[in-house]
Amino acid sequence: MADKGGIQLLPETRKRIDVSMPGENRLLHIGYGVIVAVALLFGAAKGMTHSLRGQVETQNASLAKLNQERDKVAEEQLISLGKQSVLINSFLSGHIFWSIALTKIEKALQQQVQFSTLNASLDKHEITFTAQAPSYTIIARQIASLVADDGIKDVQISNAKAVNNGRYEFVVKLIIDDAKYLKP
Amino acid sequence: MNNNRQFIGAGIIAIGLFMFWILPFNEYSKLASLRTAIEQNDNLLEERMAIQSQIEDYKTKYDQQANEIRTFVAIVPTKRETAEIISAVEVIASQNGIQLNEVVFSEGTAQTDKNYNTMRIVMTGRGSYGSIRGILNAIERNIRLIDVQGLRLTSDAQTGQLNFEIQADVYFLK
Repeated sequence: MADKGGIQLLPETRKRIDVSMPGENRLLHIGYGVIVAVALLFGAAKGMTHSLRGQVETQNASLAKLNQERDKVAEEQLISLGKQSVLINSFLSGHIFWSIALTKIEKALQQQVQFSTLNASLDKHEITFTAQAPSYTIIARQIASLVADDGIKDVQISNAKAVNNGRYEFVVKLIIDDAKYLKP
Repeated sequence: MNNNRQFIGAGIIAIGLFMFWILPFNEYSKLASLRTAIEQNDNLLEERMAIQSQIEDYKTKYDQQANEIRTFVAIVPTKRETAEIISAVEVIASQNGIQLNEVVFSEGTAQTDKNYNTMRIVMTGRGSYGSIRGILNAIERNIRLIDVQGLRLTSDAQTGQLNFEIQADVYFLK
């Protein structure tokens, strides 16, 4: 404070008087707190993302390695084998034997009957043959002996006639049951 | 002055919340998708490893039973293998004393709903009844499956032999 000739003057510098109110910085502190919290959360999230990305890359590398280790030739072989085993089972169960049918016809054949042609068709399920017999009686016996087989569903005689050699020629169509007549 | 501090504080909070929205929130969203990806990859890896180990098992068994499998797959091979059929038919014919005149191969009707193809073989020749029955029997019991579809026999009065035509189907994988 200046003293000039005993007169005291007012101070030259003014002192600022701050009146602090309780809670006036609260929002400021909360703001800082929010910023720090956001920074911490961001750091933590970034760290976790980085770590998870690493895991994904490791997994992708493992998948790629597994893919490289595949023996594609062996896989192809196994796939073919699988398909074949399914097919073969169905083919074998449906496999038919005409040689068995011929044996059955032979057994049913009357002694004096002689075949001149024989046509067999799986599509039509039929066997057609032309044969010669010494008489109509033998033809009748022949037909009866064929009918006796339960693998033959029907016997149709289309023609029977006398031929030059004194014998009788006849044409027969057998409708067969493949499952019974063409299988052991 | 006090009001200024409060404004600044409110501004900082707003900025903080905005930053939360654009920084950690985004990162946490990425975390969720990364976790899903990891889980899916884990499942995929587990599945692939199980398949791989199963394939290894099958492969070992396949190698152990290679001979049996070779015979088995010859029943319905993966390819036409026409040459093998020709040589098999020739062997069968000569074993049965058959004179084989002609062997004709043709493609069967394409069946789109089936996982196999068919090849038609027509064999014509001459022989005695016994030898024809023999060739038929051998064809039907051949390792490669041959299904006889049709048979035609006609007697030749002059030679006393039979002319034959055998129509058969063989199969191979698609």
